[in-house]
Amino acid sequence: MHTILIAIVAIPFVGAAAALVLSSRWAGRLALLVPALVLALSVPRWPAAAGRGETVLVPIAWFPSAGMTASLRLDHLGAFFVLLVAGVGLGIVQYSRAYLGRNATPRFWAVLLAFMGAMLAIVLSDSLLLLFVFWELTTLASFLLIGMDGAAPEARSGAIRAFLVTGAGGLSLLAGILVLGQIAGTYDLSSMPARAERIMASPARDVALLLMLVGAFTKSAQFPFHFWLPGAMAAPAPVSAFLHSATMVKAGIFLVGRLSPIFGASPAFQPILLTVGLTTFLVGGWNAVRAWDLKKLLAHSTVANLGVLTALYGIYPPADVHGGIVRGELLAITSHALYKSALFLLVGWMEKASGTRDLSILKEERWFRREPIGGVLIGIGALTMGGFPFVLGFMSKEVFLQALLDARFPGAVAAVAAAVLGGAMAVVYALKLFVSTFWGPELPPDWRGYPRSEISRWLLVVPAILLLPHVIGGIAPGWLLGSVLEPGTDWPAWFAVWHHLDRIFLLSVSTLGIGIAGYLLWRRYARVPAQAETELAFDRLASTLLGASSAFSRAAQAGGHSRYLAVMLLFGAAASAAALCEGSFPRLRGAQTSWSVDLLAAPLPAAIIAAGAVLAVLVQDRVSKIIFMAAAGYGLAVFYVLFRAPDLVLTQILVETVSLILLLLVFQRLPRLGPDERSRGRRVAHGFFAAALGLGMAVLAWASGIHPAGHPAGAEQLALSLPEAKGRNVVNVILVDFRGADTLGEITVLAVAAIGVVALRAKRARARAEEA
Amino acid sequence: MNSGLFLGLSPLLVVSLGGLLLMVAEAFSKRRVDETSDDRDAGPSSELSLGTAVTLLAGAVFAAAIWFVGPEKLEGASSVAPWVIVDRFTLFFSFVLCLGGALAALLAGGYLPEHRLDRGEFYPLIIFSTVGAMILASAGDLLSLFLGLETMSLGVYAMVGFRRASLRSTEAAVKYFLLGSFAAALLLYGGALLYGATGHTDLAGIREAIANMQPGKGSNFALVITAAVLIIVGLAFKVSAVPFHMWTPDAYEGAPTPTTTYMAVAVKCAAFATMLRVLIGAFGEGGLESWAAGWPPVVALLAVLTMTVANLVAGQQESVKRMLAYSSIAHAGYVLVGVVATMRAGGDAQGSVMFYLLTYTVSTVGAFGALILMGSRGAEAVSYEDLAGVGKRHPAAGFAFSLFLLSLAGVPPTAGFFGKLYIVKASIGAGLYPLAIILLLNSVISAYYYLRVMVYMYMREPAPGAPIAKPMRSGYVATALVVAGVLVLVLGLWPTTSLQIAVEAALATR
Repeated sequence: MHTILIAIVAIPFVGAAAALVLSSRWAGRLALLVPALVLALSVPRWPAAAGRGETVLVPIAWFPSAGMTASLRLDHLGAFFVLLVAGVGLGIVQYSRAYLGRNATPRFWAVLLAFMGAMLAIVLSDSLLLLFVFWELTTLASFLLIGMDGAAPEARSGAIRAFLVTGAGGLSLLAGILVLGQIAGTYDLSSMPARAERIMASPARDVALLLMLVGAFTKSAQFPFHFWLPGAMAAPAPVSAFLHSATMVKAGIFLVGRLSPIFGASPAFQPILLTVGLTTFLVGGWNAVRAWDLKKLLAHSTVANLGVLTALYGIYPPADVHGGIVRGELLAITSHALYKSALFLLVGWMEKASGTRDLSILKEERWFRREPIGGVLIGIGALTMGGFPFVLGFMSKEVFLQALLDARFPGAVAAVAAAVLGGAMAVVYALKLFVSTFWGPELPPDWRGYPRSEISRWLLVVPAILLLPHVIGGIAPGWLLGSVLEPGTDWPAWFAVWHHLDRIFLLSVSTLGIGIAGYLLWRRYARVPAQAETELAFDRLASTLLGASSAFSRAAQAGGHSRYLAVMLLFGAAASAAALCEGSFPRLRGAQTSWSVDLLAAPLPAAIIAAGAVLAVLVQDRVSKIIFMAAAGYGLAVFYVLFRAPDLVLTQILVETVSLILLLLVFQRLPRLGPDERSRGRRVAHGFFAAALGLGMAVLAWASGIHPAGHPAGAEQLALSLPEAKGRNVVNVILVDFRGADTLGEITVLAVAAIGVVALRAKRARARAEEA
Repeated sequence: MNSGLFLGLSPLLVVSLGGLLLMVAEAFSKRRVDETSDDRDAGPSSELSLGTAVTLLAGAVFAAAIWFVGPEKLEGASSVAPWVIVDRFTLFFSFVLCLGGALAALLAGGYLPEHRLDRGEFYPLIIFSTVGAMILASAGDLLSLFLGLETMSLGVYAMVGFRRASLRSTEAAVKYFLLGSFAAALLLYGGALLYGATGHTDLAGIREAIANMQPGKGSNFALVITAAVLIIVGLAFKVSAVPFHMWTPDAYEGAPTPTTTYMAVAVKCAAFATMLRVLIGAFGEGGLESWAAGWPPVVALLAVLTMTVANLVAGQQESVKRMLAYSSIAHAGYVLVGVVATMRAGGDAQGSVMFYLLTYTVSTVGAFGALILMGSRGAEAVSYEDLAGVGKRHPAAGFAFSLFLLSLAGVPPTAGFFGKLYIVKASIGAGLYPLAIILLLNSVISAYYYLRVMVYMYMREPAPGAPIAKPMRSGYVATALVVAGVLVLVLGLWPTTSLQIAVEAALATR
């Protein structure tokens, strides 16, 4: 059992790796084998998982000390998704082989198989972290597959937008998982329900829930994140059918199912799902009604359907959720996955046959005459999409209405009204899809599209197989539900098409009626918009952000040193000022100094220093500035004299003189300073900052002066100077005796450096001589 | 003196000795580049690059060997403490620094001859900078810390200006040198204040003195705080945190790409190592580690600024190299989040920081290396347009670049994902929800510009007549990329062991 689960996840990835080294032809054949193998492994597990409700756990250690595992599990919900992914996947691979032909590169097959593996791993993960890893992999695969047709700019922007939205949602999911893991102390789904009380008691509970729901909503294109899905339609038809209708977008629904046993008791859980789901239902429906591109129409209708699936989890009270499944959920998912992927594939076929998917062209042409088989297939798909009787879509809609009618929550009437309205819109776009595409006034021209002989039959066979369960389910729903999808569940007696006449039936009929009326109105009044699509709020936001950041980067990266230095200094000063205010600045006033020197003569050097500093600021000429600064430095030397520190005096004078000479030498070569062109405000600001910095340094110097160090090193050296080294000048003793080796090292380094300079100069002189 | 001491210092000694030998070998080698020759194997790089990589890898191997022996078993190694501390923390960073340096040297082996920069002094500079970086990571005393910092920086200043004929390179070097000296001065000043306030230069002594201080009673606490701020500013410059990042884009863009790589990995890692040592080792007590009156809010502010500004500006760049420069600033911001988290989440958070630095090192080396590989003499890959269609023309190079970009973006199952995961986990564990969320939002922004490169490589064709980048051929660059690529995947698929090692190394400082 363990090996089987691991094999189901591993087979697609092995296949993906192998596809990269095969030729395109053989990679396609291999791709066919992978879902077939997965099906062969998983179908025998279905009765146990679905009928007897068994859950198989495969614990896999990953990082035990951090409480992370890579455990897998197979239960009813997971097994259902495995069959869905592998089953639809098998059809998609065969269709892609026929549809893409030579355009299907080994890379395409590898990405498609890797996506399949990631999707299977999501639904089989017991560890939430493992789930997240594969969640992001599906996002990446989606990006690569949407952008496959690299030439189109629309494909590029669609791919990036889809990646950013779902990727951001994924990170939100990650944050939610980490918060949840922090609360629960585990990342394993199987251990969560046992700790539900602990989770419910935590204040961070709703944070985790919201973050994770954002992840689910972005993936499943729920309002207000729904806009990426239509943009993803730049992908080839089989990719749209597989990722963007049948499987990947259902991952969000799957996640909600996984979360419902954990968060079901949270008061926020149901209202959020119901509101978001129904809003999405209406928004998606309305967009689909307005769409003119057949593929966009299907995309918007997918959004609407995902809304229904989300809302279903919001209707039933937690007690009615079994293993993360609510009644009708599997039916709705199966129904939608099958007919929507079939329709996407059929639209792909239609585009080949008619050369367009633009409804404004197609509605003038009578395609049914030429393509009756395709017409019938799209007709079946449209019927089930619109919720007409005798197909599975009808049952799905009935269950939804029934659930809404049975539920007891505030605003139930509004919810029913929304369901009817959304259902009616579904009827409108279903009719658009079928009637407007196939029944136009004129016969289609011959020159558009490929001739029939060049279009593979598989483009119709695969959708036909996908639609087959719809027909079976329409005729024998009880059998399909009771023995295949949700065995063991009691389905009510009314659940058949032909023998009930109650509120639901009336609602269904009125939905159909409103829908048909709506379609007639659309035919009459709809105008093809001049502009294909209005600019999306997302793109506007993105471009605003880009504009703002480019303005910022220009401002921040002006390039001047003075600005860089100013920013660094100001930040440092502000941070220390904040720190000093925060901490307790020593009381300066009452502080006792330890200085026992006669400072009577101090005003003289102080005046020299002050004058030098002020004049250095005021004069305009560089050389004068340098000289005045040197004057301030010599003033400092006088201070050292007052403190009776002759070594320091000599050092200070030496340093000051050397730097004065060096600076003069350098600055003589530089151009003269131009007139000061700063504005008055700027000068004041500069002056203010300079004064603040100077004052800050002064305060700092004062503060460090009045606090005696803990263990002054000087005392020790003073005590040892005479007895140990027989010298009275401590500084000299330190230099040549206590630290004699250091001094020797310094002198050596300096000497070596000097020799190096001489050698370099000599070499340069030689080179010059050779040149001359 | 005994064998334990020599063994403990062996990574440093091996690398230093190797550097000296290579320098002598270079001086006496007859291989001199002939500027007019097109023979890319004629110059000194063909020998020195490998020699440097081997030397640095030997350092890494010695560090790993001591790790397995157990540094605490080496008697006598503690006699050089606190100037050089031989613990697992040191060994971890020695390994990472040597690895980053070795890979950068391999990149140089391909890059320098290709772009007519083949002069031998590059390699000793890399080696001795790495020695400085290793000292920096092992320093438990402000004096040896400064020594290491300057040893490392001086070599890097020279490496930035290595393209002497290029104005940009020279300007970058001068800028970096001036601002870098300024930051070093701030750090030194902070150290002096700290000594004045506590009477110690060793981090443990400083910590003890601070713990014994009574805040608010006219003590030296204010001086300590000012010193802490100055030291943080100095270190923030080295890790190029906003607003001390201004030199970074210019220096990274102007420098030869192997230098950029080296700066982005080794210099940054060493600076973070010492930041961890100082913040936790010296300022880990006495209220300084608290949110109310300590360094965490300052570092948190730096982290938020760094991530946000760098990511927003990175998206604006037209040069891929400059984009990578900003991206490396952004990554410093992510690491800073982990640094803040150490205040409450302790060893785990510090381990996550160190693991992140490891994953960041391999991904960044890979990304810059792929950029090097994409271009050749006269046809360098600079802008996005240069890369148009490369993924289709040269699938292997395109795949490598994509892998490293995905790792930088933090997409599973690459190394970068787990690095980010553990940092976020640590910050959530420390209760820093806002920081975690800002980090994740920034990851989304960063995904935009990383993906943009992939979009150009795979989904665009070069405009007719536009110059296109021609990938170079170099065994050295290819080797570096393969090593980095394998590490990115191994760390991504089996992160457990390396994370455990990082956490164990982190615990050595606590």
